[in-house]
Amino acid sequence: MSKRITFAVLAGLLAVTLLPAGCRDSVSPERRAPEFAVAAASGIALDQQNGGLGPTASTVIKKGFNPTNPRLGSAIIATFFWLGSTDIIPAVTDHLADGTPVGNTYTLVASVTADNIAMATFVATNVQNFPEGTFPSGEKILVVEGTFSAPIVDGGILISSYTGVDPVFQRALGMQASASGFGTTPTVADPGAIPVNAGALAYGVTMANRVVGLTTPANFTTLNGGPMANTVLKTDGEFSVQASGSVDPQWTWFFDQDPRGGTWLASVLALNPAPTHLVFTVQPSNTTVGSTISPAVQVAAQDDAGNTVTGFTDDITIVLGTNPSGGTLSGTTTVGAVNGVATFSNLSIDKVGNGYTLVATATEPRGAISAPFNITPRPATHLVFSVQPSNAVAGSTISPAVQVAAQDDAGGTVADFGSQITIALGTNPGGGTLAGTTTVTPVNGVATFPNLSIDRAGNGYRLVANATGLTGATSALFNITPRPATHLVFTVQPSNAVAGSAISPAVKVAAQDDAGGTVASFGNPITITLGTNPGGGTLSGTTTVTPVNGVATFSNLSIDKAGNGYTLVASATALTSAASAPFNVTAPPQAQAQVSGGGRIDPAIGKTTFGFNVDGRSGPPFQGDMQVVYHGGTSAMTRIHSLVIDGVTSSPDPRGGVCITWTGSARINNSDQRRFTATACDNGQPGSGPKARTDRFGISVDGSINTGLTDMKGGNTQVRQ
Amino acid sequence: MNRVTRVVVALSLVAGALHAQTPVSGQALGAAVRTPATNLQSGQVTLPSGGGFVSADVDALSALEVSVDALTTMTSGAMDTQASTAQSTAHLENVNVLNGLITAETVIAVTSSWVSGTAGWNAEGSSFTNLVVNGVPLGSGDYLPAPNTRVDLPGVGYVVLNEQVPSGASGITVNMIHIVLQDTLTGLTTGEIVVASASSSVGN
Repeated sequence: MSKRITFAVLAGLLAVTLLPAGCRDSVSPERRAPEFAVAAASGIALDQQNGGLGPTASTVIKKGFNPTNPRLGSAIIATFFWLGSTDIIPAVTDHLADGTPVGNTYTLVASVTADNIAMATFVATNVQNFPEGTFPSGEKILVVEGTFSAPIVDGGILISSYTGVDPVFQRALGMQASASGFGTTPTVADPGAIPVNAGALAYGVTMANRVVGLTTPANFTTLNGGPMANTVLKTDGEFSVQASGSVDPQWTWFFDQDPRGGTWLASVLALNPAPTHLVFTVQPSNTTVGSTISPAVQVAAQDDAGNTVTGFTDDITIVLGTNPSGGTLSGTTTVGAVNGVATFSNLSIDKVGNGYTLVATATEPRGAISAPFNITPRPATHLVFSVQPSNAVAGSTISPAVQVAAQDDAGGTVADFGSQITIALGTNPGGGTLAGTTTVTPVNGVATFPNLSIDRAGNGYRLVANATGLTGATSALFNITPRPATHLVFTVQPSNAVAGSAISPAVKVAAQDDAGGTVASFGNPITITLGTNPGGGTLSGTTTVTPVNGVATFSNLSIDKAGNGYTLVASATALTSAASAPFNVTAPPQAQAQVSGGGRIDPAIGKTTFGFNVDGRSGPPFQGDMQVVYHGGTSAMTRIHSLVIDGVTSSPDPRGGVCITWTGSARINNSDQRRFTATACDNGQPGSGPKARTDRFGISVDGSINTGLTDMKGGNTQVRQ
Repeated sequence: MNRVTRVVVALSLVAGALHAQTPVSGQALGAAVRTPATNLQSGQVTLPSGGGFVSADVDALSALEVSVDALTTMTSGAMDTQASTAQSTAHLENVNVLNGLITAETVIAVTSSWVSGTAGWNAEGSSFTNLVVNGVPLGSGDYLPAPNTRVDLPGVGYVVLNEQVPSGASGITVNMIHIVLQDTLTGLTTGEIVVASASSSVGN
């Protein structure tokens, strides 16, 4: 349906709205810093408008927002119409009606000319530096002025201002299209379709060189109360706020009303809304600690109507808002928006916590706070010795306390891991036993073993830790050092024994530490002496022994005289000595045996030959005789010949067989008469010598001679019981 | 019979049959000389057949052919149903034979015989100390030549050192020095000298 405006109305409008030209200030107005536009919730909205057509003979066409100026920060669209071509396209400025320069920048965004008519549209965004409000007297009215390069004879201007347009011109300006045509019949004026973003302003204008009927585009709002016309020109301006998609305003010129037909021009352009705020379009999700928050957080710059401002490409920065655990946000936290949306694809937080929030900020739009989300622990996967076992002394607590942590796959301790952790010996070079509390329930994911100890020394011990469902851990190597020996202990006490016979079982003495453990490494000799000596006896045998694995074994101790309550004393350098339990030595039983023999021994006193025949069943005194001869080097031969045998005893030979000891008096070299003790041991096999297990013989004569019980080099001893 | 130390025991029984109260015998001799000019035995002892112990001491032997500072001989033995043994020793100090033709600081002869399931003997323990024969030291210190070692003595005859004469399964005689005197022209034996002899035997 066409709208028709009479020439009288158009002339009146032009007379009122066209202002005198020429009063311009060369000084540019001071620009205020850009402010973040906080538009009404409706997004882009028409604020002020004005316009007019009329004949002129000037190079200037101008129009004021009479009586009410636009809102500061709004966008102004000014379309100039004129007879002529775009060769004289105007330069556009603004000033107050009183001539005060304002200085906003108007940029040509669309122009079209055909058949000696032309139309050009200029846009200024974020207009500033003029007073807001209504000015009935007119002097502070903002005037938009176009100065052509040549005088024009007829033309006009349509100005309109809009709130909610992106204040940054480059972001604000969308696509534009223009077209022209000629018709003699009702003709559709179509500038062409352009894509628009959601919430964008679609602005369309048309003009014709015929004042004929006109229908306006559907779903658009006509500016300035309707089409403008004078005697030769007719124009129309429309606007609408679009959903995302495309726009294609179309007018129908009824050129059939003029027999000449007519030429039409049409332009359409889009202005994007201002991003007013940021919005988390993809909220941060609950995520395990240290893991990338997925799906990627996305933040959009939106206008007040909730439309994403696709032209917004500024950086958006993410920081932690609520930080319940003092976590640190990692990843790329500043991202340039693409089509108005910034995607944060690798954000992560290093500490567990509930109720984290993110804050998104940008230079202009208001920031946004995300919905709360949680950072949850990663599941424990394995154990780690967070405090390794240290070297320690055998039996002493390993200090500091060994600690084992349950960790996730990223090496973080899993504080809520509550299953028991058990520790045991792994490598066990000393054959030790692990003592202490070996199974512990972790606290905050860490099990502390405060009283572990190992009872045996060794180098290169390892502990192993295990918990159900987790990969176990093996500790570093550590050493258990022996406790120093402090004292001696009879581990095998001396038993009651027969005088002259070996104390059996063998007496054993151990070097022990303060905890009573045998110190295997102790290697100093241990010596046994008689302590309590009720019989005035003499201790014989090997009385000094080097311990083996800390224990000295005295296998051939004997005491030669009977008595009750003997004790032994064991001593070693730097150790506390030990006294044995008391034991008794009894006199040996009289031997009910005969013994005879003869042969040779080589004791230290010299080559010795001997012979004897003693009947232990015959006395005392006993029947028998004995002769011993020895010759040491160049010394003269010494002869020992028994006179009286008054004692004969027998005892088992520790080497096997039996020993017979007889005592009595003997004459030495046919002169001295002394006491003697002789012993002959029969191994049960005849024929002593290197080829056989030897019998033994020995004799001691008080005060002078002692061969010791010596292996026979030849001869034989025979005991008959 | 002129040979004073040789004990010949003829044993015809096998050893296993000997141990039931088998009689024992033993002898020891310090030195014996049989020449046309000299016939002597020094320190001879003989074990009674039932066993026992016999010894003899000689403080000094000084003959034309042999001198000894001191010697002791012993022989002992016992009989039992399980075993019978006999053993003899001769122990001589500072021996000089034929005016230094053979000298020794010590000469010891030891024999041991037994029957105990099996029969046997040995001469373990016999030895010389610092033996010199015809001016030549043999061995050093305690020395025992191989049994029956013969050394010629030019103009005298020869000597057998560590002469061992077994008899039967358990009889043994050891003569540590046994010199056979020979006529230098005819080679006929004209006498003999035995020094340090011990013998023992079980059964006969």
